Amino acid sequence: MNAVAEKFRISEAFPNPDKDVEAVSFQLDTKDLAFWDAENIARSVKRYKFQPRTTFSYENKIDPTDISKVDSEVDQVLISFPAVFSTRSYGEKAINTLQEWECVVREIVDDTVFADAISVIDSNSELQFLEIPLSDFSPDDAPLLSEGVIFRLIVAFTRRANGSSHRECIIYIRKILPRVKEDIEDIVDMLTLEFRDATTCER
Amino acid sequence: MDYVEGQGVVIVSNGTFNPSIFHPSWLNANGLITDDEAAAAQLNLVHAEIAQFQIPGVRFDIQTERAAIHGSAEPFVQIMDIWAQLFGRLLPHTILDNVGINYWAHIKLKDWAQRQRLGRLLAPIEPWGEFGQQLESEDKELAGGFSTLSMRAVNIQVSASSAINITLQPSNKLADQSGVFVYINHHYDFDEKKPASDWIETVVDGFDPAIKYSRDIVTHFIELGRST
Repeated sequence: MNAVAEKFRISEAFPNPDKDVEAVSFQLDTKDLAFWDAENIARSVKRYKFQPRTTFSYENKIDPTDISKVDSEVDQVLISFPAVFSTRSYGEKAINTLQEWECVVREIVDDTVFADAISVIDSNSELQFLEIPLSDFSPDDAPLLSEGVIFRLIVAFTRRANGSSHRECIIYIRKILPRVKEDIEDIVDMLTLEFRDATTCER
Repeated sequence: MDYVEGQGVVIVSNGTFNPSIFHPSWLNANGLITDDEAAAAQLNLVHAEIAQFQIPGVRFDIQTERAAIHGSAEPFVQIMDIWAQLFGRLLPHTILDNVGINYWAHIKLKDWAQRQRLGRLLAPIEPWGEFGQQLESEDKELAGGFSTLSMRAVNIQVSASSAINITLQPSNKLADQSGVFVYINHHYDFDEKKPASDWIETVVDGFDPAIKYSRDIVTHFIELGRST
């Protein structure tokens, strides 16, 4: 398991051991995607790059700007998440997707969710460090959040009934994350090791 | 200015299905959709031959030989999650012939003239001889061109029977005739009927790369179209 995998501590509720690591590796190896219209995206980012949407305390947390405290094998960057994006539950028409991250909850402190995030769209993106107010999650989803939970964070244009388009942030918790044989084999391996360790201790 | 006016994802499975079991309450009872989604479901038809219903953002279209799950709103990965749970956990023994991961988008060009130039670039009228001359007109109501253009590439990385199919059409979504509809089909076929459980890995691993590749194709046509 590599450094990225070690960062993704998976909970029992959502055991997804090496699957995401492979996905990350794949994404990092593929060529960059000039998504839709690079100029437009760049302009949008420039226009809205004022400050993180919430105040964020790094107390007792890894400070991405402090190199000495950051894992040397993983470059972590705080996602500059503009305040203009409003959150909503999904279901409306999404007419365009600007960015999409696969995220893994690292920890929840007070009303803030800390997560590692990797872009699904930008192959060259580094592992990023994300903090989201708990209130941005759906009230139904909030109780499900725990370390290791996997979710998607999507920034998209949506069109409302009156025809106006808005930039919005969609959070989708992957409650029914599919399992593939590798996952099951990993879990079996893990249980086998634990059983072996337990029986060894008993002796 | 944004150049995409709509997008969606469809996972289509060809095989043998029993449409009568597909119902929002069945999906809800098995944890694939939430109580709220089940309550908001719009039931069009549930019959021995066909089942059609939708929940917010997701549409199910199940026939005896074809099962399609459509998503026209993000998160599209939800479509894959539902598909994988449906066929990996609930119906693992269902025999599937092949599976397609499809992405579509309506892209907006500057105007009809620009769309026409893109059309002529992709399908020149000169090789069509005298008939080709009938396609030419300054009046957009009289001008002709391709109505559907499809290209197919064998996806040998998956199998010799797998392919990536791209279809372009004039978009019917944009009223000013400046739009192009792009449909990208990642067709997975292994020349044998296999139980659904054997397809999970292919679809789960293939979904994100397929959508990403499809968006790359759409980006290409946006850039090409807007440069003409």
